Amino acid sequence: MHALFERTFRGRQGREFWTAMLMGGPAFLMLVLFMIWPFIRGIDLSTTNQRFDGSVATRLDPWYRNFDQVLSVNAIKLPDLPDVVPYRAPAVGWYRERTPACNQCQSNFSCDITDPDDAVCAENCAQICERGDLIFRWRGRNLDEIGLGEYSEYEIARQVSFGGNHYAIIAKDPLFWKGLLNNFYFALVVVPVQTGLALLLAIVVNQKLPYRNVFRTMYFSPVVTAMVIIAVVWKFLYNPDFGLINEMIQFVTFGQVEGFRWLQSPDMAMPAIMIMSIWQGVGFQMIIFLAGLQDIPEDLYEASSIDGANIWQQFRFITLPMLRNTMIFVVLTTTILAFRLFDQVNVMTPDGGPNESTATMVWYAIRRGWTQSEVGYASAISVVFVVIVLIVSLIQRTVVKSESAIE
Amino acid sequence: MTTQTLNEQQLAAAQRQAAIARAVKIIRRTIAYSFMTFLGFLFLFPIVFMVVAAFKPNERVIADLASIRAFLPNPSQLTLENIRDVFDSVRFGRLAFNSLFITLVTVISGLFVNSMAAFTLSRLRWPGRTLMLSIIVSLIIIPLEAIAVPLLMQVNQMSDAMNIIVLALLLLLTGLLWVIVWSASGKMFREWPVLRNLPEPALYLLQALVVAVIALPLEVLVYFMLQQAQEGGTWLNSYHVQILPFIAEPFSIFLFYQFFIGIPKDFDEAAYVDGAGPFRIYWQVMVPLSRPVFATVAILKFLQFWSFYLWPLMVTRGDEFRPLMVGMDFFQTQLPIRWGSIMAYAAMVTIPVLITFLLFQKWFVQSVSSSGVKG
Repeated sequence: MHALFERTFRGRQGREFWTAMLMGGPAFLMLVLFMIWPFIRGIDLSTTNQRFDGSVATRLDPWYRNFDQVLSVNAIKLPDLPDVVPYRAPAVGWYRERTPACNQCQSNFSCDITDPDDAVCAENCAQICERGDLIFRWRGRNLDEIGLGEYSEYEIARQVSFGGNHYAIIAKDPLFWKGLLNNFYFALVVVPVQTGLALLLAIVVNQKLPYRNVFRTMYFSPVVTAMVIIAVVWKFLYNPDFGLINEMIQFVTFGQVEGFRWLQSPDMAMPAIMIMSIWQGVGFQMIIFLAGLQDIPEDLYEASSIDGANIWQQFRFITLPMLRNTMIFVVLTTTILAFRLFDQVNVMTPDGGPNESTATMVWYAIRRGWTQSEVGYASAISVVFVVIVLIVSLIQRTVVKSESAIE
Repeated sequence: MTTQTLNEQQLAAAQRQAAIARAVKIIRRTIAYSFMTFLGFLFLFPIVFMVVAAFKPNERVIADLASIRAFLPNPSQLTLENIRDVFDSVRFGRLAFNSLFITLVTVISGLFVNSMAAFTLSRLRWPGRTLMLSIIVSLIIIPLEAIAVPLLMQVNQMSDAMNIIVLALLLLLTGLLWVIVWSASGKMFREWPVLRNLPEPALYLLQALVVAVIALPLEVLVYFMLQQAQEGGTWLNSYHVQILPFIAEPFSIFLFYQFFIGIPKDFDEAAYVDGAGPFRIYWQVMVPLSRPVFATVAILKFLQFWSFYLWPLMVTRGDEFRPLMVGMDFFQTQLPIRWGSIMAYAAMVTIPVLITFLLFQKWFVQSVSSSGVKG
């Protein structure tokens, strides 16, 4: 022990140790102070009900109550439909949503359902009304009445009908799960599309054509625009009534397609954000691919074209394998970026979009922790977020490793 | 006679083939260029639209949308009204200064701190080195967003001890930079023909000035932390809360490390034989040899902190310390929304960075390709 001490801290090696501590120490200490320590602190806070206003926090009992709240999810079978589904929502149970069309035909005097002379109209009206969605009114304190009392802390996240039976996915915090799914949706679309597009662009601007630098600059310029700023511009472009993008869609399709309601529609809000994110980020990946492409020796292509390989074969058997490391790097970094999605969402849809269709995990953690100042709960979300990001990158790394093992 | 006609025929056939080849080339190029131009349009139209709209009167911005006029400035209607409105509504100069100041100080001190850390990891042997390396690599995955909330708690209630530790760290770093630059610049100064004839005290003064200027970002931080340590309490609403947590960054350290281990050891061994210590080896061997990676890290971090949004949004109130990105929120909350002013603001934030990039773009592409970002 003493010898080890002597060796480490005295003599030439000792000098090297102290130099290392002097030169590297500040960086390592700063990482500890501003990254590792807050992270550990976050794990600690996640077991409390800490609030931002400085009030004294208490340890939760049981300590994992926040995590239970975040992660609890369950699938249950909902009670069967009653013979007559009411239009008025009961305390708990099934009802049918009154659509505006239904309201209109029922309020129409000539179409009074009770009037036997107007049977056809009444029938039509009933049909119109039956198009309303079946909704299960879920209210915690009344759940005991239908034998679902143990789920009183849950809320319905999604309803599925299957073979005449109705099921529901319930969660204690549906918004978290929505954010999680949105994150995966975003990553599953953006990572492949952005990587593929970046590779395409890199190949396009790598052709030996005059003025290719001009095009390279064009494709890269969105990268140097700040996301927050450009998101506001895009918000304007996406405007459903007078936005430029809808105008262009109408122009290109000769008015056949009216355009979309983009950020106002639950289906199109996330794709709108995806398109903008790809537009902004793809230029950077293009540069990285370009660097990779320029490292591929020219003779490989020459040798293969003498052997009679066509362009596709060259791409498949030379370009792709030679770009493997670059590809891995791009995919790994883009995936992590996809899970960090926040800026665009917060600028374009500050309230999480229609039906929370653009809510993400980070957005939700910030909303709970900062806007609503529930630091403890937000820390729990953050811890879960880190674990998910960790798992995703571990899976990716394992896939990469096993692939190289096969080769 | 027959051979001659045959030759003529052959010549004609060859000419025809050459003509076809030329035509094919032209067609191919036309297709390539039109495809590239189309892509270029997709990438540029929002930016062009933004810039054009910035110079239009508010009502024209929306009125012009349905036609090609959205991209064309109308010379008779050009107005600086929007830009004036931006200056009237927010303290644009102050916001711009804040953005630039925060970004530059973070990037410059980050370059120094992170490259030194990478140097100790790649060139010095000390126990715990491999462990430290793997910790740093695994920290790359942890995004700032994940620690934002606890970090906010932490900077809101900084204890005095923490302030002292940070201050001591900054003092150490500043002193280190002074020593390194001083010892490296002494000989250089005396070798410059212009300066050689200056009297000795003037040379020392000049050297001290250069050292002080190079270390300016760190000195400014020391000044902030001295004040902070005196006052105590929260870090919120200040410059240093937007700078200090982000100086040391695992990804930068990793990039530097990767580049440094690629530099042959012969270089620093030669310097070592010449009697150079680790400081000299770092400043006079490693730094000059690693210009591409310094450039890359600088650009990456510049873009990252220039567009930094979440953290400044959380830690600042009012426009005293706010950067440009958060300042934009003002226009979005004001009704009716003045789109012309928003576009003017966006253009004023974007155009300077875009121009800087255009000036350096060739150099930037080169530095990325030679710094090994490609993994």
